[in-house]
Amino acid sequence: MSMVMTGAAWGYDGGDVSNGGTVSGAVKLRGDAPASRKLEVTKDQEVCGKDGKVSQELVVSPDKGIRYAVVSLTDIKKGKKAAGAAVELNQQGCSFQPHVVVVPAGGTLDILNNDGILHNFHTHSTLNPSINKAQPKFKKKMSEKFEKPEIVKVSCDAHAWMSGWIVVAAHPYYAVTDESGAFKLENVPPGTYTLEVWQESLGKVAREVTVKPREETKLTIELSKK
Amino acid sequence: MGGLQTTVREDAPDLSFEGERVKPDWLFDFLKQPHTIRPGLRARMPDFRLTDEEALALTEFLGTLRERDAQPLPESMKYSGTISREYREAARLLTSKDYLDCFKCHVLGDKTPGGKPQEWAPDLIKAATRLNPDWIIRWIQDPPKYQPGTRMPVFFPDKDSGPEDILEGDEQQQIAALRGYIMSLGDGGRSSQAYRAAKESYPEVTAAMGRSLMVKLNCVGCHNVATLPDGKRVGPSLAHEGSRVQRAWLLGFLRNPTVITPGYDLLGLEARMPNFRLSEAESKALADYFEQHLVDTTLSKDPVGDPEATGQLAEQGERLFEEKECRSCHRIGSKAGGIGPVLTGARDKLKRGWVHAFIRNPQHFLPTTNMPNLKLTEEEARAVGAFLVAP
Repeated sequence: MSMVMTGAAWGYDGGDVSNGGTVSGAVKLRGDAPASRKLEVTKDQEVCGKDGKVSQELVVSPDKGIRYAVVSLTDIKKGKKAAGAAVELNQQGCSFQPHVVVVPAGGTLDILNNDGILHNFHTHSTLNPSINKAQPKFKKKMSEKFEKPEIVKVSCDAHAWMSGWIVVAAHPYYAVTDESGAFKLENVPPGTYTLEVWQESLGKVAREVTVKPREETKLTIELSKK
Repeated sequence: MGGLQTTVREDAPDLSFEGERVKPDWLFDFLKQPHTIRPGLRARMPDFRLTDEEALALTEFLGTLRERDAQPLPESMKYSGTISREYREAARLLTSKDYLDCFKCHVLGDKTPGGKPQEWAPDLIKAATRLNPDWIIRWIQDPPKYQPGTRMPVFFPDKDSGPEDILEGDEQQQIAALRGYIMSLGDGGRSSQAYRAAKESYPEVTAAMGRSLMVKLNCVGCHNVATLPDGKRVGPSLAHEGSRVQRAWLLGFLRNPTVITPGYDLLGLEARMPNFRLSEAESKALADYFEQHLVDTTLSKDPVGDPEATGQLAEQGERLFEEKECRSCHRIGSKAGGIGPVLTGARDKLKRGWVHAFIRNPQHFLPTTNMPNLKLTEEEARAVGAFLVAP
């Protein structure tokens, strides 16, 4: 492969995959789900809403599926090509939509503001340069690039309750769990990998997973409150 | 950033370019009488009870902290001292909700933004008195460059970032209009004459003196200054403060810290306990914390007086105090003493049980102390305790 492509700098080689398998399953909470924390909307209530906002820091379904957990294969070196399309993060109703967004390393994140009020986009990163840019009413779209894989917290200082996460992905095998806690990583070259699950308030766990040609490997990963 | 890692250190403004930022006459007044500028910060700038000479030295030193490689501002952005009608109208639009919405966060005199005080940004009416006009330009251009982590965002990251329909979309002019507007607010930038007066009274004071004072007072314990070493812990150990001092004394001290005990210098402590202007409730909360958590578990929770202490025991203690030459280090009242803490007023300050326990084994309570273990018997230690603190 001589083409420069997204993720190449991180020791990942993207190309065609034959005989790929699937890793799917769910991330679940061990123990009881805590009551969700109410967010206090202190400003711009006509746009942001008055009450009813709850923290997305730990969203658990009735059967204990955890939403917004990030599942990835940490040691995959070769596999499918990364998607090239820009990813969107919307500052909408004074929350970040989606709460957790995956952007390929070197890829572009489009940050939208259709709220019609002042927001800002403030990242709290370690490896990537930190960004703190205003997004006034008249700036409906800004674009930012993230070069180095890491998970970056994002906040809006104009609205203290707003928080979200940007997952800068080293390769295409990242998934964010849905409202039932389910995830699916498709077209994975057969082999044995380390599967890592990260969740903002529960931390990380790792598991070994073996992918067989054209087969689906299912697993449930449990996280618990420390 | 090495050294101390604390919330206060994260909060305290970076002073590396303080000479660019603030006017010396404002800074002198602020050092003499610190007050809240940034309502959003958890930390509080305390009052160090600086003399005019000290405040002048610090002002002169901070004035030398400039940005060496700063590009000079273009001629069109130099401050003229007034604001044109065009700039005033542009600034009115720019600061409004439809554009930069400055007052979503900034206070403007008695007009406060929504939300809680912790979410507010500095009062722009006071900015003109405090800030150098050129600094306002540089700050608006790139706030995180000067204050990493600041909540003030970059509004003009590139040539296309300003609104097209104001001042023909020219970002430099938009920033200059904002600066002109900020400088026109409030009292137009007057401050007291105290700095000028101090300069006349103390012509010998130099920036170098301020530099050493910054280190000695441990200003760098909270503030980052690129050209100074990081701060250290400089206060006395508070590990057993709840066992050591009486509540009434502590409450009084917290609300109005006395000048440093001369002896502290010789314990390697050059710092000065500053006045945090604590409210009564705050000082009570601190005293509660000291009494519940900063205690030595080998002592009873509230070491009270020695019930058997008599006038005779106290007299024996006084004799021992002379014999053991305690006075060569400790001063009491007007009688001479040396390197140890002054013991005048010990009876209003120290808990009774603490004194004789400490005398018997100083290193147990304060591993770094210079106080020798005099190998007194329990009886002798009680006698000295009775002399120092018995009612």
